[in-house]
Amino acid sequence: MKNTFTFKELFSEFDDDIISVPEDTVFGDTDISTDAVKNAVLLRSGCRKKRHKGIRMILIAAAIIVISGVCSTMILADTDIRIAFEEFFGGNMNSAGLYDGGNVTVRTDDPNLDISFLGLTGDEHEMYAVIRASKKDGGTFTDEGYLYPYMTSDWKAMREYMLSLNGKTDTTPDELQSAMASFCGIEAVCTDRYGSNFGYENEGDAMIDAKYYLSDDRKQIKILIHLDIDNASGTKHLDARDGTLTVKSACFTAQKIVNTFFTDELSDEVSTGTAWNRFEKLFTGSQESVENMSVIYTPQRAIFCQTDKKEYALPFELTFTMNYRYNACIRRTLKQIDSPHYINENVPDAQMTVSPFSIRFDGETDHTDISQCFEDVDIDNSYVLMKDGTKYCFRDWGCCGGGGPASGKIESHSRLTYTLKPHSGLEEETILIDTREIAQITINGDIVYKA
Amino acid sequence: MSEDQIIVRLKNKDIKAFEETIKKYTPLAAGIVQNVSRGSLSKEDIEETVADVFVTLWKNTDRIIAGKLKGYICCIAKTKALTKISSVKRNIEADIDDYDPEDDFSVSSECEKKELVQCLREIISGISMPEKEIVIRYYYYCQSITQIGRVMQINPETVKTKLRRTREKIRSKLSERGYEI
Repeated sequence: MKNTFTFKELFSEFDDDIISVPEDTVFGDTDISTDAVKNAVLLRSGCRKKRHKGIRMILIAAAIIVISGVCSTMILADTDIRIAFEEFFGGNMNSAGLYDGGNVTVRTDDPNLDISFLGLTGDEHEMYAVIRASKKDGGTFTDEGYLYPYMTSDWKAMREYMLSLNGKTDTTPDELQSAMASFCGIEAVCTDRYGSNFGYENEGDAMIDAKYYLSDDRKQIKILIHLDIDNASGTKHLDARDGTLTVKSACFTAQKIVNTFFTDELSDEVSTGTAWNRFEKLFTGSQESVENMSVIYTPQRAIFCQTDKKEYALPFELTFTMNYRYNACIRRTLKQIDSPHYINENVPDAQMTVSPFSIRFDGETDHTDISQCFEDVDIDNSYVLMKDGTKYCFRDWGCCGGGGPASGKIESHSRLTYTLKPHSGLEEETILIDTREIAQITINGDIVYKA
Repeated sequence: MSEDQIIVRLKNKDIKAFEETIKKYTPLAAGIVQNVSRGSLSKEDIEETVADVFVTLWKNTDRIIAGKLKGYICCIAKTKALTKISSVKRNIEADIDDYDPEDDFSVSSECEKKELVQCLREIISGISMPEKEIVIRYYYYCQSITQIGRVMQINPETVKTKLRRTREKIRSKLSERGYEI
């Protein structure tokens, strides 16, 4: 059989060396913006360099304390919600589950501290809150130099940390409390209405993630607090619906860079840990250096350095009632027949809770021949449709749960957060939506909610 | 980064290497798109088409062969340009001076394309300048005769003549090796 090729086709197969001509004489007078092309390409390819990225790091020290830094941005899908927050959070409220403290109080014992609550959103499982503080005498929160360099004006955080046991199983509550106290000064105390302390050994715990934003003049500080009431380490789900949750802070730590090892552009390389590999090679055999390593994030890069740390007092207490029913939370009980492609057989009732930033499904069955109550979410066939026609996709955080033949029941809990497009990367912004404007929710092709 | 390093890193989906590739080859891809379209695409169309080129490249990094990254980009650029022209339903308005009745002459063979390319490569390598440059600019970079004349400072009619004569030489040598033109 004969093949026919044009000259142009054949020339395209030539090696680069044979086609060498002065390239500026090839390009002609095209006035194309390389940056515009690059930005469009990276966005479409899913390669866009992520801002405010963080990595989970393990500092290898004698006590094997797990320290991680998490940085995330949230974008608000509704203009009303968006204006409710100053920068990330702060400002006025609306009734879509974002409130100014009807069931939230913040207080301080420091007479020189002016502290105010800016905003909060959440459900009984998760909460984001922002508070702002300044000194009545106009003083600064830190000494000069105790902040890290920043590249843009919208990020002035000095450090970030997550208190987490994710992946860590041999840290005792005492060790964790000690770590919490030494690194951030925040204690998490869960109490029910009767004053009982939940703690770690009882029903579960609260994971706290807080980020500080220090102003240029170091006179104002904002704190974004994220509380995850579900225990990420997989112990019992905390039933805190009728209790209160109090977050207390005594101080925070500020850093001054004294020695920079290297910097890395924030990219997937950092998030996948290859930068960590580089760090490990630098410090092989140097336990002391490893223990003193810090990573400071700016919007563009991660700075691997040694820092001098100082503690500064910032005492406050944030309390909110867990039994608050948010206007924005849509709750439904679903039968298997309501969503045959998502809810497994023999699951009599599944609870669906739709909040401004996630949809949760909870199920239970006494049929232990199934491993989970829910099927995998088909991202391409699952979405939220708003009344104005906007469509949001999901990021599936997986299904966790427990049980089995021994207990005689299977429990499953799944969570979906909203994304602008399907199959978004983990570093994509978190979306908040106004649940009042939801028209329809579809999971695996099944319509599970219609306004 | 060297070209070889870029290719290896592209195959490993290294974003830095990809960014460097975009930066390095955007002007080339844009030039190819503009040349193919003969000016029938707007600047925005060209930018969009060039973006298409690199998105396609990223999706097909496994197809990049060492030493042929540039060629591969040019190949994608030509294809995308033609697709874009078709999608915007533009007609390429060719200058009468650029008209070449043998523009698309083709080679038939029972051999695989790879073998044919190798043969053609050897023939082209043996052609002297400036004829070699003219034929590469015309068939590889899709430049018009007018463009080639302007860049090489040769009268367009001379470009046409040299192109025709070079094509005849190539045709003759291919025939000697058993290929049909």
